[in-house]
Amino acid sequence: MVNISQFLRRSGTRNAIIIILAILIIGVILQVANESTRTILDGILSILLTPEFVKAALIAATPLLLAALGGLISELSGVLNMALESMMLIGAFVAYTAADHGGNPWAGLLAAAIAGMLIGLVHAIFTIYLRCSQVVVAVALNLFALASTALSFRILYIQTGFVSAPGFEALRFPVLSDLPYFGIAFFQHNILIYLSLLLIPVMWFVLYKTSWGLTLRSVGEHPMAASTVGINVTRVRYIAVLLSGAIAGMSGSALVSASGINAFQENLSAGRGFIAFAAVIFGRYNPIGAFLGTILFGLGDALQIRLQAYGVDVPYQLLLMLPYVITMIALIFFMRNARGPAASGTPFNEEE
Amino acid sequence: MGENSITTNQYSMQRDLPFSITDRDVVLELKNIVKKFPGIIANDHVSLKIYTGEVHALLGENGAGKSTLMKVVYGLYHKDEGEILVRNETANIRVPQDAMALGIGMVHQHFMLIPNISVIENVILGLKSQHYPLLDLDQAMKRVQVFANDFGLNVPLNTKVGKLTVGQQQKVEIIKALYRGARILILDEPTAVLIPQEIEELFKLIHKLRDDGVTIIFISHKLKEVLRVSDRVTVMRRGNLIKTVDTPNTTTLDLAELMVGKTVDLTIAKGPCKSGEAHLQIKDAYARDDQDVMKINNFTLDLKAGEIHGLAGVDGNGQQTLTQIIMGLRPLEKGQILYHGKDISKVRTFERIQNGIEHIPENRQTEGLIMGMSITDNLLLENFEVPPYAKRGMRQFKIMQEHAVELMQKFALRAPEPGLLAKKLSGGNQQKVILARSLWCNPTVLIAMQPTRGLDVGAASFIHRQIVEARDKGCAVLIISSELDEIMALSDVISVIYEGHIAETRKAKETNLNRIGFLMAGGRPEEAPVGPAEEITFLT
Repeated sequence: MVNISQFLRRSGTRNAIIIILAILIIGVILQVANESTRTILDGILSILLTPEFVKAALIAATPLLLAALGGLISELSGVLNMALESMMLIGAFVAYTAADHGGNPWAGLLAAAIAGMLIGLVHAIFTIYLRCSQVVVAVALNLFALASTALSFRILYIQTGFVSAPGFEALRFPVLSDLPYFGIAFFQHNILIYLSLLLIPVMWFVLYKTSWGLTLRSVGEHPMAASTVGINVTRVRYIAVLLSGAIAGMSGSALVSASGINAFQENLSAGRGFIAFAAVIFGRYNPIGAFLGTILFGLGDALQIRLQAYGVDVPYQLLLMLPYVITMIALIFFMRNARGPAASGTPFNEEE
Repeated sequence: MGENSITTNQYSMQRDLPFSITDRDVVLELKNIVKKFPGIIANDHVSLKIYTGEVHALLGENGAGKSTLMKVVYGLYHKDEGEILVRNETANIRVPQDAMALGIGMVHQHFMLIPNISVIENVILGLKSQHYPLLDLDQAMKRVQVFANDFGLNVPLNTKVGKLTVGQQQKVEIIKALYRGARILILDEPTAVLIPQEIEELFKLIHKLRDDGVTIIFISHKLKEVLRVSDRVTVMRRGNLIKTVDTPNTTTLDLAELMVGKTVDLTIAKGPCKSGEAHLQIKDAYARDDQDVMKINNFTLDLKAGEIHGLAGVDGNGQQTLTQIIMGLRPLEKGQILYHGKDISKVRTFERIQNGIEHIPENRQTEGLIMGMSITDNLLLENFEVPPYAKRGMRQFKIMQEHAVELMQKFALRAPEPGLLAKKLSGGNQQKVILARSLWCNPTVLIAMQPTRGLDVGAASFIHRQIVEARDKGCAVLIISSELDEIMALSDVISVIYEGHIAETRKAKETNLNRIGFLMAGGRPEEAPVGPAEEITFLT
């Protein structure tokens, strides 16, 4: 009965995996050090300390943060939302198109939320009403998103070519924005980033301090128990999945914004929805944990862009892998005792 | 979820009741209730009157329709026909909150509590506070304390429910119902999970609540308890109401006969124990469960030939891990398992089985059988790939079939043909498949976990007889059960497991229910009550 999870949980095995990964990473770095001589490592260190690096990490983390917060709501209600990727990607495409045509990034954000909600609705109908497998529905939605956005993008923009849509402008705060280091790192972001960060305490409050939050969590833990005290489990789950879709859809808008040029391209999300899904789990199903998880990815992403720009002599595809590898290593450490809602992934049937 | 919730303002726990109590006030009346499930009629025109302030027992075997009837009353199931009257007014109960609004509360057999949140959060779940949508836990705690102390319902309100004992969790359920203003309290098999001391406490609580004017409906299949706690008893059998009697005017045997429908012999014929050498010895064993918790702690136990060894303990004290290490489904962290003196702790499960260590798992549907496979395949799960059932990798269907037919006869397995899928069998027949698979080759060791859970009297006594027969043939039997009566009636030797450690091992004749209950709750053997064994001659 030694299954994979038990195998991984044995501390010996886990340490071995960490050591192997560490050797691989060090190997890559040493390889670099050999070829481009001594200054490279110093260079990397100095990159890590610049305020621009922190700024870039926050920007890169925001789309994931929104997607993870959206995923969290759904997940706490007992519906696995592996369709975050599709919500993010379609959200991104819709946000870009709406902002382009509407001439306003807010139009893009709103459209993305609505689009995400619609995907959520489809997901909800299949998983809650028809009780389909939550994983299979998510896979279908993700594939649909990838293909449909690519197709629509080509149809809409093949003639015009590359266009940059109107985006959220960076805010400037008096005094704060001019602080050394912190000004650049934290006080020159656009409004969407601040709103996303604000959503963390808001969600925490709603989840743990309100009736609504208690109801949501109880439905995810033990739907039958919730049902016996008169909670309408189906309705709570619908609301949760729709809300989840709206927030995850908005993550698409943040993703377009994070591209730096407010543009869309095929497969813009590139698996970030799945990373957000993982961040919910290793963030131990709370908003703050999800934030920490996504920041980790953001740091990795910011680092790989800088390494590319630094001209490190490694195929850039390898560097692109960096944030994902970092996330995987984090999973090994933090998945250990992550305990999700007990009823996560199981459809609810009242008369059973 | 908003408007469906009941406001806590409706909560009433005051002594002056909204309706007057006279001796024979009908508080709940059921008229010709019919509830059908696909293929069966769970309640067939059941009519019943419950009086205010009585303890009314609903007695019947598993599947008699007691719980179904009460779930209809509580709005969890929808009746197909019939009428429910609460305080002489027709009640239209569609969902549980309708029942709650009428002052009906229910404590389910499997608690409807969320382990991961605190007691007080469980109590107020689904209700609106005065500061809606904010939670007002302080206010709720004050309200609970008003009545909880009176009834002795002392539970730490800020603790997560998952950290409480089963007995405490039951109190949380009762608090939850009372908080919602329950004046009719349905208790579904409330004693099934409790140790004897907790049962005593529950009975006291039930009587206190009754004296306060709360009507109690007590669902049970245990005759003794029904006789002790109730004022009247209604017996149900196969969806029908058989009879309602006043408790003082009835006896165990009368009730048993009403319940089963024929005169029943509830005694277990058991000759004296002739124990021999130790077949299986567990020495200083330690093992962890899936959550990495050390579930077996310095555990030592000898299973001797021709002896039934009962292992009593509250569920979750390591019983499951114990069976897993004996069968080789889980590694030992430390210690030894000796089989005829040889350490087998590294031997594969398959070889342990081939050498005569058999196992009746706790959950027959998920661990014992493959529900989507036939009786034949399930009977041969342990040896389908060895001759004569398979030759050169080809299965020998004729031999398999003959084997199955033979076992079906021998173990009185009622099924039209051996090709029938296991999921089509009744619980009793499913258990007989597992029993047949474990016993036909005369094992030297049998580990039986909850061998009769959920079975009717007939099937249970058949299984008990088979186990006793195996013992008489020299098998070393370990019975792990949460039914203390079962352990007391069958065992020659009784051990009590507490937190993965044997608290005490004694001859069955030298111990008693109180002592065992005390040890199950973690009491020290030096302080445990002593006394002669109570004679338990029947099981229900």
